[in-house]
Amino acid sequence: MDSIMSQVNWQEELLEQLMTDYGQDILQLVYTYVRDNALAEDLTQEIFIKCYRALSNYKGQATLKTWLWRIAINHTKDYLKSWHTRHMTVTEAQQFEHLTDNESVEQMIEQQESQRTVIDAVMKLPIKYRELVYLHYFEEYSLQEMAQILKVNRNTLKTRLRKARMLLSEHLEGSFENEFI
Amino acid sequence: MNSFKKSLQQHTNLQFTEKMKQTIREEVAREAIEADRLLQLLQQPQSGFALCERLKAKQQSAVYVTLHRLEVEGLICSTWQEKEKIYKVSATGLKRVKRYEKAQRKMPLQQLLEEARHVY
Repeated sequence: MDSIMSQVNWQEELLEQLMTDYGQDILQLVYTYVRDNALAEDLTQEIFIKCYRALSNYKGQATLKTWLWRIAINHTKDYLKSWHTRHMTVTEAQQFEHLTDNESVEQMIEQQESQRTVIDAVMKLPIKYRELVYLHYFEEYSLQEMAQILKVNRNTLKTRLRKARMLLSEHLEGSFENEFI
Repeated sequence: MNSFKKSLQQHTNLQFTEKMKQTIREEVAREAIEADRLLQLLQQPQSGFALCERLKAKQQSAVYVTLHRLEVEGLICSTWQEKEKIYKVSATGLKRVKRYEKAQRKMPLQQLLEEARHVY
């Protein structure tokens, strides 16, 4: 009946839907960039608020999911680029390495644990490779979709992904050698 | 969910909780109320500067961000008058103002009912 009322409800309902469907995904996506739980939680909340504000600008050029992923990635990258962060990242990275070093070697043999080794190796990659590996192998996005989300040429991504695989296998060989010596 | 993704979730213990959802909802609701207040004031056409003065806004930039959003949403419209942008609530925006004012009038009654519920 009241068009404005239904419009407001529509936006709030959509936000609820997006949080239910993609909340966990976004949280993990953001974590892949920042490698810190509390920070990933804060940024995820900001991303959904930003998304709500931007809903009226959404014109349906991309799927809603792609659009949300782009907001999330841009927001996270903006955060990482800020002055504050550039002076903090070193400590965060060290913290993460410290965490993985503490794991016992025996546990790594189990299948689940070898997956964990892979994850650790992924998390240690530089961001531009890490995001690709995450989107492609964890979220199973195609090159075409990733090109849309990241606004990077498909062939560039292809090359970058090849390099990422190379780096990853180097990392992994290193860690498996250590394990079996 | 693919096994790597599941494994990452276990590994990091990340959980998108109801509490996080609630924080998001509250922030969104707070912004909606702020927008409602702006719309209410803009029944009288005025500039962003005048509006900031009126609201005694500490964060003026936030006011302009909201104004921009409301304009994109078609709830307000603007004209240029001697190098000053004058905002005014639109017809659709006015409907929302009426609804907001109605909700405000209902508020004391709702509070009363809420309190009564606690008593009994």
